[in-house]
Amino acid sequence: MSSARDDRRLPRPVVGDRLTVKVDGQPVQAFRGESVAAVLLALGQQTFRHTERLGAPRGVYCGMGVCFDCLVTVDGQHYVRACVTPVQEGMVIETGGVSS
Amino acid sequence: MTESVDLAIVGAGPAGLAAAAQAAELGLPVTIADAFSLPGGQYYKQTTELGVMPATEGQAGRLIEGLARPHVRLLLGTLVWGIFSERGGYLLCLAGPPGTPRRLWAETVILAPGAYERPVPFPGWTLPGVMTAGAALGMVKHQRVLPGRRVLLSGTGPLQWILARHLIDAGAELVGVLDANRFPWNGWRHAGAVWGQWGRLGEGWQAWWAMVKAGVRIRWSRIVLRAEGDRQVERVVVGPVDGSRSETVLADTICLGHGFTPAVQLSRLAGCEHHYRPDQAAFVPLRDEWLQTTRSGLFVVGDGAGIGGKDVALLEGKLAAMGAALQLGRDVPPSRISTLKRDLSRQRRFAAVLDALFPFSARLGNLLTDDTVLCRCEEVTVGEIRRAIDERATTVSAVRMLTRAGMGRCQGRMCGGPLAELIARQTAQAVEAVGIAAPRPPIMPVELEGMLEVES
Repeated sequence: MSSARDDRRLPRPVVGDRLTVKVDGQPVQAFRGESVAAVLLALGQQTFRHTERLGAPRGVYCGMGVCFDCLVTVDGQHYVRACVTPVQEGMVIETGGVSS
Repeated sequence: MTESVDLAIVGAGPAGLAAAAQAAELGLPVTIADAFSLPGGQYYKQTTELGVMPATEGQAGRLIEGLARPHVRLLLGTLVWGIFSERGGYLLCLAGPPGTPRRLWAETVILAPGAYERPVPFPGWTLPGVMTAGAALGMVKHQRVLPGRRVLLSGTGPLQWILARHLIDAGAELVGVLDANRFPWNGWRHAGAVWGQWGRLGEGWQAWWAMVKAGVRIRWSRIVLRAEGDRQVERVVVGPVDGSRSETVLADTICLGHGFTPAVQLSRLAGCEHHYRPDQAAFVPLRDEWLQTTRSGLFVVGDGAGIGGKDVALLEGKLAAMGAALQLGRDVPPSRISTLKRDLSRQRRFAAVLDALFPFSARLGNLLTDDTVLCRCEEVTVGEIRRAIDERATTVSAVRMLTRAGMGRCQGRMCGGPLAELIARQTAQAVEAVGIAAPRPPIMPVELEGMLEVES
């Protein structure tokens, strides 16, 4: 479990159930109620993908589902918005972007 | 088959919830749709698992409880991706979980689409670590995750102070709070409009005091000139708005809070007339005293019709619900209408103070360099757009066709405003003459199977 890499979680009034997801092949601990973006940021990972045209790094920008910058691959589905997608037990998250 | 309803409400934030609760109380059957999986919108955001509303439990909780009536139908996780005039009413196109109607015909519609943060591009604004104030606040307040370690705030107005307070409480190192405007020395002139708003003044004061205690000072008339770093933000060049001087600070996160811009996609798609409001630097739908647009039976309420904040949104939602009820032949006590209108004008006066003291200035666009990416989705640079303008593309639509700016996944929500300002500056036109790009359905990317009208 790479939960201690650089855990940026803050104290919470109520803690959701623990669950395990995979981020780029590594098992990572997460909590029910967290978004994919929160899980990545909690690991200290700010870069979620590289763009198709310029290969530029991108991460969370708007945080509310309108900018489509925080795109990751979830369970094989490309272009999923990390900021509005809640984690589920066993979810497979791939960052880095889709190479065209 | 298309279902028919008397009243459909789009958006379950403060404005939409208030409209639904009011309409239900007047005995109207209500269908309310929201793209998120829980009601509340951005303001009353609920954490997915806990279903509790931090800080606003009372007000939001009452509103949401008010929806638990047999004649109120709440369609969650349901995006309204299109709206079209049809048979004297409106055809709404929905994409939602199985069992959700794909088409809904409504005699009256209240749109409560809300707003999103006004994008203000600068060189390096696409680097990971640059995020909106709302994104950072959501992480700290709702997700309880620190978005970064060394954080710089840049933007304007008291919402930035509130974010600063949350970040300080969360243990982030706040390396600066920059405000693009001058210190509001003339604030005392607005004492009349602010009088009585003790709750909000208290919140602002608490945030201010938290900054003082933490030794954080607001630096007025300062902005981010440029963000630098290989894989993410590492260094930030800050300076006065005119860029005359600069200094570099080390930070891994920049939170941008330059106010909000209304989400007018559906109201424009429906063919409502819009006009440019210079005080908000945004296009908003024209509305009558009932908040009805130039399309009969179509109302727009809340921040989606012009930024007014939560309290304006709540009152507008109620007023439009009364307007819709009258159109549908219900009775509404006139005394309630006059009280509501009086409260609304008081709340609008407060909102106008914030616009006056902390305005958005298109001057910020002077910082754009040719290699700044303006359209984040299609990665179109300012230089490419300037060349298109030189080739006589003098409207947003023309530049879009030549460069693809605004044609990506966000459909111009991010670059639309800055693009119009860039064209206006370079061609010496007013922003309203440059226009905004026509919205196209679906107003957000939708899976094809979600759009098709299939019977199950």
